[in-house]
Amino acid sequence: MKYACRMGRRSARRFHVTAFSLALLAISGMALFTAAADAQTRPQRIVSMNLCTDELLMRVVDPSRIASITYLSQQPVNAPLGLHAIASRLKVNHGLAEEILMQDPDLILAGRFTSTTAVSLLRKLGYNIVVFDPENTLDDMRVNIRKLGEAVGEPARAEQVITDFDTRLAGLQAQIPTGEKPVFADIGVNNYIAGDNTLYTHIVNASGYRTLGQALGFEGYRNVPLEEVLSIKPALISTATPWTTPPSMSTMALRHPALRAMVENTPHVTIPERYSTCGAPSVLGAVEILVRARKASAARVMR
Amino acid sequence: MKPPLPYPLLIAGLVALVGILAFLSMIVGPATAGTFELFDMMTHGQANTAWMIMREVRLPRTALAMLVGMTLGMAGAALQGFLRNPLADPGVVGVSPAASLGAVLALYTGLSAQFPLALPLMGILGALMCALLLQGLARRGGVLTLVLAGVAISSLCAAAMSLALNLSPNPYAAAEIMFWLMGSVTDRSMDHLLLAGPLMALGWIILAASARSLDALSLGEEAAAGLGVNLARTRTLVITGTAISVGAGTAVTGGIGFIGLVVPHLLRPLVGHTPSRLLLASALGGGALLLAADTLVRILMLGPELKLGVLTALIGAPFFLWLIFRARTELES
Repeated sequence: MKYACRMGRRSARRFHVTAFSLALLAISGMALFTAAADAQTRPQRIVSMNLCTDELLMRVVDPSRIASITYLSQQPVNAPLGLHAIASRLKVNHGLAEEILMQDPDLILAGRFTSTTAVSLLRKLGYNIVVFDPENTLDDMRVNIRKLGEAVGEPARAEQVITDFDTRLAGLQAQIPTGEKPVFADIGVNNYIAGDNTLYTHIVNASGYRTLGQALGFEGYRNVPLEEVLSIKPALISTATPWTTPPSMSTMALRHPALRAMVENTPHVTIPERYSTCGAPSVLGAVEILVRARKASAARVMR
Repeated sequence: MKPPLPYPLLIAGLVALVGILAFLSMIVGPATAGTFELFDMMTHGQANTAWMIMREVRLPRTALAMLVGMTLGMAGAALQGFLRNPLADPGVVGVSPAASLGAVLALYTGLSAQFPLALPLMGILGALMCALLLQGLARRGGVLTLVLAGVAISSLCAAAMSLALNLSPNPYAAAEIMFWLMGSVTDRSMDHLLLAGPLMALGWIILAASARSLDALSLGEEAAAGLGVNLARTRTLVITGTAISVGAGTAVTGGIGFIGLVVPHLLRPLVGHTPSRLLLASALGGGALLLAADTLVRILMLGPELKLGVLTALIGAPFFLWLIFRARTELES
């Protein structure tokens, strides 16, 4: 491009009209040439078949290179933090091979556990597919962002996304009051509680809390009996879930009289599920809510 | 009892129905890849993609819906005839739950992520193990032992699948298992068709070999024995044929309920209550019903695609209730 501009200026000095058209030709020629080179090296019609790769993809590449994302990313309950405007303009897929074939992709991003039959069919048909594991830690997220950056030919932008995330995370973490991490109990979903080695626990730990699962001492996700939930007094609870409409068993469990007493006497926050579903920069939404709660409780103690 | 229309005419009608529904299944797609969109692609220089969609996505899907439907219909008819029990279907004797369990184990252990065809292969293995177990248990007992053994195997397999869900490492792996169990032919490839197709055909041949004995059995076990029917041989044929065909089908599609139960009931009066004639009629009826259900799944796109097994049960169960209600005087007498 630089070369084209220089040539345009030089010719303009000699013959005005021809020069102008020549320059235009040259510029558009160069632009075409670079676009062609770009198309050869970097995928231009990328399809994402997984909610979590949707967010990473939208953060790392220009929307013009995205052929489609999942329909989930356009739903308000799932919309990634700050990306709603981009998501709503993109085409969507439902993880079906037929619609993805119609979109003629040159790169397909998929999750390890989603639409697996469609993924194996598309792979068999010779499509270029990169599969991502679900993120269990924030480091897994950084690994996946780099992997995606390599796959789409944007390693520098991937690094920038990670740096931005780390800067914002460090900024939030700097506000966490010192002292031992109090227990945060998310009892919103059927007493389905996160223990050690889960993404949810890593997000909560990064925000200055321990999860109820860690306090109870188990790994992975478990449905914990109500008496065990009540055996530990949390400093903060999250009860609301986005699944209140339509009503679900999970919200009915909260009406249990034994739980209601605890719920009424403990400060609580609402963490939208979209801030903790994926290991992606959207988790900053959850961190922000938790850090604010931690600061508020410290302020109450001071008083 | 005299059938309301001649048998050849009934079969011709059912074949025509299957043909029409298979054609519809080939041209109906999800909204973004519908009939008009595909036609548009063919006439606007993207014929290759359009043909690839037809050949590699729609064709295996249509063929599998038809073949699995036929398998379920035929196996249901054979089992109801052999057990002389209107409640029998491949699920009751434990074959489909065993096939599902094999497939779930392939998903749970991560084997299917390494090697996609491990999933149907494990499913077929599960169905064959179930058949061996049934044969061993039912050798000495009669029909009742067979049904009870089948119910026990079904419960055991269901419990083992729940255990796999319980122990699955993360919610995503559990969701993958659950969705698979709901049953679907979406995005199956030619590999699936080539793996399951020949096995289903083999199962049909074995089931068809039992046809004469089933006719004799409709007069009762003793009368059949008097006519020279070897009960043990018939049992082996029905169980092996069901295990191979339904096992192969379930291994590829997941659990699809109600076809094997409802279709024989629907067609029995039309073949004059002759079990041997019901086998073919029920196979064609099952194929037609599953093709129709799978086409409907694509038309009713409510966000995520509806699972085929869910739709067949949703339509099948109320329909079955209506059948029972209508025929209750006949059943009670």
